[in-house]
Amino acid sequence: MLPYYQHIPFFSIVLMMIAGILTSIIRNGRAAMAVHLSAVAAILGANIVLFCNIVPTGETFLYQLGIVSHPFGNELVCGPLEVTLALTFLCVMAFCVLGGYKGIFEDIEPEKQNLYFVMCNLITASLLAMIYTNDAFTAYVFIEINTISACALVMAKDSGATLVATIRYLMMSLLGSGMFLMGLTLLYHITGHLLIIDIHEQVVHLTETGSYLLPLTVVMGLMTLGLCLKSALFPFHTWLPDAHGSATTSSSAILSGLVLKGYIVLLIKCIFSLFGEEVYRAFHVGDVLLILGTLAMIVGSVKAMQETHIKRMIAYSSVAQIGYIYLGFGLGGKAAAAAAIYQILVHAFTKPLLFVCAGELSEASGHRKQMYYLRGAGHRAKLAGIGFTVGGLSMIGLPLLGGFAVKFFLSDAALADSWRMWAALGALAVSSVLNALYYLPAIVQIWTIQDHGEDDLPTLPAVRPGVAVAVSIVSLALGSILLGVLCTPVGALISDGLNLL
Amino acid sequence: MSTSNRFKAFFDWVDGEEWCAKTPDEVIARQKKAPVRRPTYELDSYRRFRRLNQAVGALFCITLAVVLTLVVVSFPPFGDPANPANNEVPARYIERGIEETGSANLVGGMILSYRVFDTFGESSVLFLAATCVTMLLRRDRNNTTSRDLRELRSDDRADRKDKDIVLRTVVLLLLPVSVMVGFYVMLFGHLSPGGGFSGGSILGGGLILYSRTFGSGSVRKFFNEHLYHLVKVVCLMCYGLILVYYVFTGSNGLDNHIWLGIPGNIISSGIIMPINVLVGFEVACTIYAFYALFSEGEM
Repeated sequence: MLPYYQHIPFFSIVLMMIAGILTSIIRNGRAAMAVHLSAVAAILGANIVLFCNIVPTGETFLYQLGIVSHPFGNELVCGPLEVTLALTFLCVMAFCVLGGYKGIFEDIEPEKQNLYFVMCNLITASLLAMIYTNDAFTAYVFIEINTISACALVMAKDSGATLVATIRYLMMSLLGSGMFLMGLTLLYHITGHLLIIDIHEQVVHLTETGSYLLPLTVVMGLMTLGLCLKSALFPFHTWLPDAHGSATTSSSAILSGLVLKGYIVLLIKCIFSLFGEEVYRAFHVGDVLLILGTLAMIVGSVKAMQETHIKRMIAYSSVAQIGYIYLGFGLGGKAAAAAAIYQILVHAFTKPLLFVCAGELSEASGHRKQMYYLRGAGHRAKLAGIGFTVGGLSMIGLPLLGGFAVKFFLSDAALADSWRMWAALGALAVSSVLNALYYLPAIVQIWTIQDHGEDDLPTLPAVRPGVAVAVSIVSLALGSILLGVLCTPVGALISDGLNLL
Repeated sequence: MSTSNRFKAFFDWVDGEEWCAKTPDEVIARQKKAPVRRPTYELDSYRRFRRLNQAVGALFCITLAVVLTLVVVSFPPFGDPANPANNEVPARYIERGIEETGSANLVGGMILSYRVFDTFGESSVLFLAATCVTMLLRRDRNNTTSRDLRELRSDDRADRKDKDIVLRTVVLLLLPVSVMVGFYVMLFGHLSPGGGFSGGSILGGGLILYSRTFGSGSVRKFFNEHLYHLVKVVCLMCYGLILVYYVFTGSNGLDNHIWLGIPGNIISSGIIMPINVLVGFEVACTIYAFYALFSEGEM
């Protein structure tokens, strides 16, 4: 018999999928939400148990799915890094749904509200599967599930803008999945395996013997490109602002905070487990990611500065923040990759915080999202204003907040390499200034007291946040503060986990 | 705007002045003007670049085609025993597949026993697709007007009046055959090519044929939305439970007490035949749901 905790990853995935199937017949949207949240809470508890069991010992185990052992069947893998990511994603998922629940029940037709939670459940299942899988094809299957349900989250609001955004998102996302699948097919032809560990052995063997180098290069390109498309790396970000800017609050938060990260987690698996870091470096894929990452950091911020629509501004800021993650992969080396993973965690807490607060602030301003109408919104919805300030300052990189820790880790890692150092440090400096240039005016704007003599804004009443929203904002803000304060232990946890991958 | 004004505007904006009250009127005008964004496809800039987009798209496709052709050319010939794909994994599937899965159809054995988790994912993709279509197309006040409803009703009346004797006779002859073939492909999925996905599509096709000829009302008499949800959920849940049992015992190295039977018999192959039937019903439901939702917006 296996130790009980080794079953937790498999049961988490299956329980989430079963919850998704069940929610499709629960007619009442609120009951569906209760099912979703309790499933997430149960799995969160189980994963905490798993965390306590394997992190102190640094244990990594394989879990066979079915009757046959290692190279023959599907398999899951679980180590400290995987369980840390899973815990973060589960927490953020619950807070995203809690934070935007008013929007869900306002924007979606009552008879279709339960279907929204089907998507939430399946997205959670697919994220967990993408984190825990040790099988490249299982990863693809769950990429599909993730793609379709993410599109449905955008579509759920059912207005003209969201439908157009969904179509764009769907096309780009399917192109990405298609490329990943093509790469995977070719990879199977030249390695003969689908399990990541075995593929890695074969890839190392192929590079040593020098056979099938062209297919291997193309495979690496296709799989990386596919995942970059899906995680909105510049210049493939064009679908993101529409999709994230027009969807309902929860959807924007889930898409920005989690869905993009799921594909990046898969890319980490590709780089470190599937191809191996040396092979990846030898083929210079990292350099391409470095260049695109630095461009994303700057272009995303510049585009965000031009926006006057608060959600689109935050969405463009996601493009820039995704650039930080790719910068970490592009720099090469474990330290930089650990910084990139740290950015995944920080961004997973901060971006949903910003979206939830932006949703609240715009609700306090008569559901308008133009910056002009948000003046003084912080006084009308105090908690959301504080949350937005914390999130914005973290994005800028104020010390003691998560964003600062990321920038510190990235610059520290960049010092190892000469020309990459200049690119990375330059991009970090420029992008921090640019971040400040659009987050600070936004923060100033929401805390400016309305001057009734000079402007024509109507006086709006203060809005009290519901308990769920308050819990969500406080927890997400606490998450991004704790990640800044506790950067040393968490950073150590991540780099240990990365070494075990 | 003159250069000095531009600079002033820039520095004001750096100071966070743009969004405050004492700003140039044009900034306020710009911010107030566009609460609703025009969709991208209506923008002039997009129209101008559409031709360029097409060119870039074509270039991308051609490059991808050339690269992929080069890759495929550099592969070893098909069926070469020295191919990297001919390793211990397929060897074991072929040598011990029948013994371990009890399925005479090796592919069925592979996808429903060795890789049963993936296939559960694939079945969920179908479920998910049907749910998305329901979310988008099921009639609600966003996507249906009273005129649409009137048109649907008049279509329905016309369908009922128009009793094409040839069509009805042919369909009545064809229907039992297609249902039978559907069940055959589903039930014999572990013995011959076929399985749940293909059998279910044939069955769903039969339902669509019936609905097309006799009107969706006649289908609703025996297959309504309630039954659809029930079948879909029960099938997937049963599949999920079988998967949990199979994986739990398998990963613990326990005997799962699943009776494999004699390969080649209709009652054999352990979990594979039940899963084929479950997946088949789910696929049939999904295929019919696609048709019904796309054509009428309800089941």
